[in-house]
Amino acid sequence: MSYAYLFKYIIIGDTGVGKSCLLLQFTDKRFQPVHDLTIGVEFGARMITIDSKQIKLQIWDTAGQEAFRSITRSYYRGAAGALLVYDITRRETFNHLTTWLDDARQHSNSNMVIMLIGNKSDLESRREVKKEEGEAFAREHGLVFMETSAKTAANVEEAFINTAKEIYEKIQEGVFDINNEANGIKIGPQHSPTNPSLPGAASSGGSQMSNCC
Amino acid sequence: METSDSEYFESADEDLESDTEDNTRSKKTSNLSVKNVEKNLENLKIEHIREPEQNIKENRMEYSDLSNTSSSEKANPDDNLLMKPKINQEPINNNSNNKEIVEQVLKDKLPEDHNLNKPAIQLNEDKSEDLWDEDELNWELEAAREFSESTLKCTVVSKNDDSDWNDFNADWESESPSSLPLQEDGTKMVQSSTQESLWENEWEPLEEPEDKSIKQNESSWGNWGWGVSSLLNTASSLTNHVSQGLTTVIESSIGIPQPEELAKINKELSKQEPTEDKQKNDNSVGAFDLSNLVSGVSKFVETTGSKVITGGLDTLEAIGKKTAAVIQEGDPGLKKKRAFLKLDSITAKPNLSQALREAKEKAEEKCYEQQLQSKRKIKNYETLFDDHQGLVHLEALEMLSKLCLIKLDNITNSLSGDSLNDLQETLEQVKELCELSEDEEEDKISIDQADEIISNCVKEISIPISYGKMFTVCREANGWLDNAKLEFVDNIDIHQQALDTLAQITAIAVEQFHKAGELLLVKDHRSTADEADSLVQITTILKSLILTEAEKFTEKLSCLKSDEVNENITNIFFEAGNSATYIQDAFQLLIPVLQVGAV
Repeated sequence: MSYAYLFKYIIIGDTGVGKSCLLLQFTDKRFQPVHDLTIGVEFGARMITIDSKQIKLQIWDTAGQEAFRSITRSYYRGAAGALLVYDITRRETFNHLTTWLDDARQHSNSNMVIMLIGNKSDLESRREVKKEEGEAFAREHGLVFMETSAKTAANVEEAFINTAKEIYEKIQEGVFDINNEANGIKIGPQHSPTNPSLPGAASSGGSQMSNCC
Repeated sequence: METSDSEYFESADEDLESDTEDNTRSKKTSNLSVKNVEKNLENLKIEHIREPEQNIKENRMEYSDLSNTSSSEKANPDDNLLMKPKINQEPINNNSNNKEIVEQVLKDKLPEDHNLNKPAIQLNEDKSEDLWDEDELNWELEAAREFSESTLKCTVVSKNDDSDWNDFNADWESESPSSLPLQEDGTKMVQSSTQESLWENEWEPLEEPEDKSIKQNESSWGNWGWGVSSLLNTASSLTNHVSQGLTTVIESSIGIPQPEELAKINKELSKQEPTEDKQKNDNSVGAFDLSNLVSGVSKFVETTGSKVITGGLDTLEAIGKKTAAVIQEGDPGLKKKRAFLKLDSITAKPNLSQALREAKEKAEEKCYEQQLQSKRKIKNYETLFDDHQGLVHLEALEMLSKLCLIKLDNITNSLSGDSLNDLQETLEQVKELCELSEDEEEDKISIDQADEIISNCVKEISIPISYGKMFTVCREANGWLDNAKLEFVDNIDIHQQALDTLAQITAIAVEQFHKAGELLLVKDHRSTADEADSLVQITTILKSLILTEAEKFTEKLSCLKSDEVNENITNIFFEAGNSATYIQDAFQLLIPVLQVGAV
């Protein structure tokens, strides 16, 4: 429960690319083939450990539907990391990336770490976007890139944790002013930096009752 | 959503960005200048208690100093006021006689009032010394000072004809009913001395800060009624309460012009003189009747002075002490609260979600210590509320609310004249629709009843939100209570279960308000009246439900015989009270959403 840092993440991208499924896989380690459309924004949380420091990821899973765009945009503020997701089986979701990226850059702080994610890598037979295209896009726009599958959990953990590592490095380098909460980073309660007697909180889904205090 | 709409939001977003940037930039400078002013004011106050008369000349100098030192316009609404004497300094000499008369009369009338004043001032000083750094106190004091100035203005205004008299009456009435008799005096004055247009111009700039301060005060009242007990954790109301507390202190000295005010009265007088001369030449209305003013001032002092005596400074002192005690409870040295206040000083009411987060950290610390002692897992309310995603939904709801406020601002700024008036009227109407009834007798309500009423309300506004999850929590909690055998569960178990249930109900309530806000914003055909009506009902029911649940747990607890039981019963009611406040505050955040739908 006591964490050194709290990072705010946003997950953005077209509707149906698997944003909520990625979150569910990351927080609860399960996959739901049929998912309700997200209304506005939903939340998930999980503890991870980087450099033997407990970090709480607070993830804002935004609705991809056009109708909610103006609302979800207002939630970008104060995010330290963003997962920009497209569906490798639907070319148009890849084509919309620039719009999403512009939006994200415009409505959040310039230091925000953005991870580009090509989801549904398990559906190789229906692939419409080559991995190289994703890599090229990421290179061009200075993003980190990864292909994931929310269904098989491939790379899901890595996507979230690598983003956190990147943010953590930026903190170490002094790029992020951790005292400015507009950067999406909050410092945890100071009293007990790490408590060895507590069980590894990273394994329990933060959205459920995590068994520590 | 149509394109035009989303564009609107977009531009609103940009505004928000630049807004916050500006704010952070200007905050530091304004803080500094306010600090200077405050310091000087403090000095003045203290000096004046000792030698009210001698210092008046000195004061004039200090005041003109002040107008130089204060650089930021917003932070110093009384700049105008301070500047004026300086501009009018030359003709002042003519009036030294008049001034002395007023001084004399005031002094004659005042001695006992001066004594009365002291405890109030004392209270202020205590606060600033013991509890607050000067800069943290700044914005509080500023509001308070603004108020005291408005009081002063009232004193002077009531002696002159002022076309704004009626407006002012209204404000005055709502602010402190205890000074009503004064209006009669004032009205007489108005009849006896008729001076018009020039006065109006003279006074107009002064009205602005005063209005602001009154609004600020009014908004404080809302939370005040809820009581001191919620103070500790509800830091959003905390700030209101504190300012309220200070205002109350100032209010207590309402009719008794404080020393520095006396000085200002003198200045106002001398300032008026030249204008008056002009008027004499222009339309021979008759000389400004100084004796009217003097008798007015003294009457004012007399009537309100006695009111204050009967009102009882003791009560005020008690409130002040109690407030200070409650604020400090569990936060020695007020470290958290100081930091907290500094963060958002001057600009706006601090975020509830932020306040809660800090409360949570603090409670976690305490909890951790307790755990070390009892070797059991104990969670506090704030942590549980966060675990159930209440905190983050609240934060998102705040963002949504802000988005709507910016949108409304943009619309307001683009309008003028009648259409602006119409708009403001509409906004006000929506606000009125959203007023929760003040009935303190919250009825108990069964889960099924609540379920039915809330389901109907949700149907009314036809958006897919659901409180089903919440009623499941309630039913499960009741089931747990029915099955809990006292041999197997103890005090701590019941207390933990109670907190978890309350936190969960509150979190779901906040979540559904957040969802409602989002869904209403993307809804095509809005019906503001129905929305407001339904949401008000839902809020009321939720508050009753919280209370009902709390009572069930406390009943169970009281079956146990243990010393710690009472403490836990109190705590459960305390957290239930907090829950109700969070729910109510979350509902308030929806008002701009409803307003956007109405315009």
